[in-house]
Amino acid sequence: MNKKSLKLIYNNSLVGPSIFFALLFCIPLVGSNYTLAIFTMIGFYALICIGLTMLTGYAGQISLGHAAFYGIGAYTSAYMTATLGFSPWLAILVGALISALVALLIGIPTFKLKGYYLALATLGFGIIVYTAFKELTSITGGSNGFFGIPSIHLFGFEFVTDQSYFYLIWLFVFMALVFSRNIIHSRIGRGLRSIEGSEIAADAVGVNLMKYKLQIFVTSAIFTSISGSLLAHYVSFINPNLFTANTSIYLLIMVIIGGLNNIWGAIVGSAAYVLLGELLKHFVPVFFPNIGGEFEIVFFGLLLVLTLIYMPNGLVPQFMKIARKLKKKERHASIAFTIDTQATGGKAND
Amino acid sequence: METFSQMLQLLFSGLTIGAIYALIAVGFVIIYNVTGILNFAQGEFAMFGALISISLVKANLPLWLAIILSIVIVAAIGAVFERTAIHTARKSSMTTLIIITIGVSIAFRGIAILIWGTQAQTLPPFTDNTPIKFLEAVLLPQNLWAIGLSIVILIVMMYFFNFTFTGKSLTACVVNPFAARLMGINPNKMSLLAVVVSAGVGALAGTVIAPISGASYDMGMMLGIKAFVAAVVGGLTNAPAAIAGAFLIGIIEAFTEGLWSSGLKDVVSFSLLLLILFIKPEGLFAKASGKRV
Amino acid sequence: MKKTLLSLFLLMGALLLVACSSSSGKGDASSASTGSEASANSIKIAGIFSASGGAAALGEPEMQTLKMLVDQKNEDGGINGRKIDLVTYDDKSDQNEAILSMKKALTQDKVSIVIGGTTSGNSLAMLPLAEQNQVPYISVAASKQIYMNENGQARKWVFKMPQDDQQAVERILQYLKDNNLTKVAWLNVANSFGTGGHEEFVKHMENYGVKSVIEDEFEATVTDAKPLLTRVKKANPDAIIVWGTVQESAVVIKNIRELSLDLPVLASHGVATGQFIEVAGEAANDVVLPTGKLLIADKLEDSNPQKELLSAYNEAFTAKYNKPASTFGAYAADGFSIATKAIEAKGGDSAALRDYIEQELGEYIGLTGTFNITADNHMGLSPDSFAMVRIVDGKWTLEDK
Repeated sequence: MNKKSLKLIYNNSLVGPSIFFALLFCIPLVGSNYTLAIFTMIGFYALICIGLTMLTGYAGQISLGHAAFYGIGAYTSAYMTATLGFSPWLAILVGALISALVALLIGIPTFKLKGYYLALATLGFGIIVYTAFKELTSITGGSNGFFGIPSIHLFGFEFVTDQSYFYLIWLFVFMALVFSRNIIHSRIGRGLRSIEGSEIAADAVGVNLMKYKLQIFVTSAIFTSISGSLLAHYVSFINPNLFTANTSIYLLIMVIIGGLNNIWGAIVGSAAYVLLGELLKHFVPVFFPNIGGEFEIVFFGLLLVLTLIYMPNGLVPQFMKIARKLKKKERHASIAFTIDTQATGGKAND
Repeated sequence: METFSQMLQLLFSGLTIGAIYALIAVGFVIIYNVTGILNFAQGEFAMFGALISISLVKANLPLWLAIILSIVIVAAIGAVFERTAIHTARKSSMTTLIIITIGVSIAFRGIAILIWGTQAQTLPPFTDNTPIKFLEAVLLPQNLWAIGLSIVILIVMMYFFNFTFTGKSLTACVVNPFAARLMGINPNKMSLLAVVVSAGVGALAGTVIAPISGASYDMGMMLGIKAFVAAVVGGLTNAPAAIAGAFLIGIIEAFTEGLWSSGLKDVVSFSLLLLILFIKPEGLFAKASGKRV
Repeated sequence: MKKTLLSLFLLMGALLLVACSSSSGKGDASSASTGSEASANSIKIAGIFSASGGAAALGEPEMQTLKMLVDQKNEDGGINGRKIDLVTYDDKSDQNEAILSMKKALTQDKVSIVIGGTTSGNSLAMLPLAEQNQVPYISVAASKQIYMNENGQARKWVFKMPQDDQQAVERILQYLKDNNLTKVAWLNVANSFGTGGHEEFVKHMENYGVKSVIEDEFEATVTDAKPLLTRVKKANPDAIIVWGTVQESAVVIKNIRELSLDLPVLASHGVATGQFIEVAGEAANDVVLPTGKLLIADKLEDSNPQKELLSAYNEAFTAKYNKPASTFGAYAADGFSIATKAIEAKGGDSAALRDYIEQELGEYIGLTGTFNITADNHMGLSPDSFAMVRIVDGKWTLEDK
C-alpha cells in the first residue's frame, strides 16, 4: 500500500465529503422526480452500507442478517407512529436503541469465538426476526403488511415530496459518513487495520479486538435501523418480504462492489447496484427481448464473484488507479507538448 | 394409542427430512474441513440435482440413469465452480472466499430460473410409493429411500476417510495442511476433490427430496441453510457429528410442527443454532479438540 | 482522488440520464407500440407486473395479456383513432421496484392510467402514489385493502379487478354448508395470500354454520406437512381446506392422500391452473375449489354472456403464447377493457377517466364476472363470479351445488 492510498484512507478532512455532498445536493435542481426517487433509494442503501463496509472491511466479519436491523427500524417506526401515535423522530431513536441492544446480545457471545461465526449467527437471527415480523400479526400486520405509515414532520414541515426526502436521507448519509470516518481514524479503526485480520497478532499487541468489533457491529446496526425507519416513512407501506435473507445478501453485494478498504465504497457500491439495476432493465431487453427480469440475479451473482476474484478491493481503488494513470498521461502529454513546441520554435501556437 | 401413532408419524417425518439435511450437511463438512470455507452454495447443488434429474426423466431416460447422470453432471458443475471461483481466489482472505460462495449461489439460482423457470416440478418416486402402515402411522417407500441412502452415504464416507488412500490424504489436509504438503499431498487437488464429492452428495439429496416435495429454483436456499444449522449444531468439524445434528434438527422440526405450530418451526431450529453457537460452538456431538482454527 | 470519486458519480449520473431519456422516448424496448411519442395522437398507459421473481406465475400472463391486447387494439386502429402507447415495467416481485416503476410511470412517462400490481403487497405499495398523483390505478391483486381504506370507504383513484379473497372463502363456506360439512380443518400458507384468506374465514364461518376444529398454517417452502396433518387427523374434521398457491398446496394435498385421510379436500382459487394438476398428480383428483369461469368456459351454457368472451380470450392467448390462458391474465384483460371503454368515452384526461369508471361505466361484463363499480365499491364483482369446480381424472369439472 503506497503512501497516497494510506493518505486517502486516513484523510480526515471534511473537504471531500463537503464537495461531494454539495454537488449531490444540486441533483434536485436538475433531476426529475424519478431520478430523485432512484437517488433516495441509493441513500437508504448507502446509509446501511457505510456501517456494513466498516464491519466487513475493517472488522473482517460477514453479516447475513442486516435485513433484520433494517426491519426492526422500519417496524418500530411503523408501530410507534401509526399505531401508538408517537413522533417519528422518537420512533427512529427507539428503533435504533432496540437494534443496538439486539446487536450487543448477538455480538458479545459471537465475537468471543474466532472464525466466521458472525455469518452463521446473523443468518439464524435474521430468519428468526423475519418469522417474528410474519407471526406477530397484532403488531406488524403479519404477511399482509403494515399500511398507512405517516410521513415525517420537522417544525411543521412535512417530508412528502421526493425532493425533501432526498435531502433528508442524504443528510443522514452525510452524518453517518463523517461519523464513520471518525471511528476509522480513532483507536478502533487503527487497531483493527494494524492487525490486518490476524487475530494472533492482535492478541500479541494487546488490541482488544472483541470490543472494537462489537462497537462497529453495533454502529452498523444503528445505521441500518435508521435507514429502515426512514424507508418506512417514505414508502408508507412495509411487509416482511422487504427484510428477508435475500436483502441481507444484496446489501453484502453492494458493499463488495464498492470496495471494503474505503468508506466511500459504501456509497459507490449502493449507487452502482441501483444504477446498474436500472440500466440493465432498460438496455438488456433491447438486445434480448425475450429474457425476463431474472438475468439480473445471474448478473449480480457473477458480478460479486468476479469483483472478488479480479478486484477484491472493489470499484473505488479501480477508479483511483485509472485516475492516476490519466494524470500521468496528462503530465507526459504536456511534457511532450513542451518539447514539441520548443522544437518547432513555439510556432505551435499559431 | 393415537398419541403414540402420532409420535411415530412425527418421528418418520423427522427422520426423512433429517436424512435430506444430513446429505447436504456432509457436503458442508467436507468442504469446510478441507478448505476452511463455509460453502453457501451447497443447497444449490441439491437444487441442480433435483431439476436436472427431472429434465432427464422428461427426456425419457429411465429414472435410475437420470439420477446417476444428474449426480455426475452436478459433480462436474462442482468441479467447474471449484476451479473457476475457489481456486482462482485461493490466495484471498477467508472472508472473501465465503462471500464468493454466496455470489455463486445467487448466480446458480438465477441460472436455474433461466433454464427451468420459476414453476415447481416433480420427479416420480424411486419405487412404487404405496404407503406402508405401521402401528397406525404411515411410512412411504420414498421416505425409506431417503433415510436408507443417507445411512449408506455415512458408511461410505467413513470407509472413504478412514480406509482409502485418497480419503486419508483428505483427512491429512484437514489435520495439518503444511505437513500434508510435505508428504507430497497436493492440497489443490484435495480441494477440488472435496468440492466434487460434496456436490455429488448434494445432488443425490436433491433427487431424493424431489419426489417428496417437488423441486423449484429456490429450494436450495432453505435446504442449504437448514443443513448448515444441522452441521453447526452437530459439529462442523466432523461428518458423523454433522449427520447426527441433521437428524436431530429434522426431528425437532417435525415435533415442533406436529405438537405446536408450523410457523415457529424455523424459529426453534434457528434459536437452537444461536444457543449452540453461544454455549457450545464446537457442536453437540463433536469431541472438543485443542485445535480449532 | 476526490475528483476521481466525483467523476465516477458524474459518470453514473450521466448513465442514468441516458437510461431515463431512453425510456421516455422511443428507445424503450418494453414498449409495445413502436416509436410513438406521447402526443395528441396517442394515449399513454402503463402496465406494472411481477413478470419475474416469486410471483412470476401470476405476473407473466398478466404482462403478456396486456401486451397482446394493446397490440391488437393498435392494429385495429387504436381507440377513436388514437394509438395506445403502452409502457410496461417488470417489478421482479419486489416492492421497492414496484414503487420506483410506479413513480416513473406517473411522474416521467406521465401516463393517463396504470394497470398492474400483481401481488397485494405491491399493489398496496404502489397505490399511495396513484392517490398522490391523481392518476387512476387498476389493481390486479386480491386484497380488499387495495380499494377500501381503513374506514371501509373506497380509495378515490384505485379500482380492483379480481374478486376479494372474502368472496372465494364465502363460496367455499357456502359449499360446505350445502354439503353439510360443518366441522372443518383450516390450513393456510404463511404469506399474505394465506393469512388474508384465514382472516376472512374466521370472520365469516359462523354465518354459514361452519366450525373450525383446527386452524394452522404451513410454509410456502413446505417439504413435508405430515407432522401438521397428524394434528389435523387428531382434530377429526369433516373436511380440510388447504388455502395456498400451487406448489405448497400440492405438497400438503399429496401428504393428505398419503396419510389416507379420507376427507373432502377444498383448495383456494390460487391453485386453479393446469400446473397444479401436473405437480400434484393423482392427489389432485377430487379436490374441490372455487375459480373464475375461464377454466370451465367450454362447460358454460351458451346463453351465458361470458362464454364467448372467455373462449375468444383463451384462443387468442393460446395462439400467441402457446400455453393455456390463466385466470390472472384475465384480470389484466378486464383492467384493459375497462380502461379502453373509459378512454373511448373521455380521452386521456386522468380525472375524467376515473370519474367515468366510477360513475358512468355501469354494469360491465368482463372475463372474471359482471362488474358493477359504484362510488362505494371500486371492485364491483359478486360472489357468483366464482364457480365451484372439482378435479376429476386430471380435468376440471363443474361441481353442482
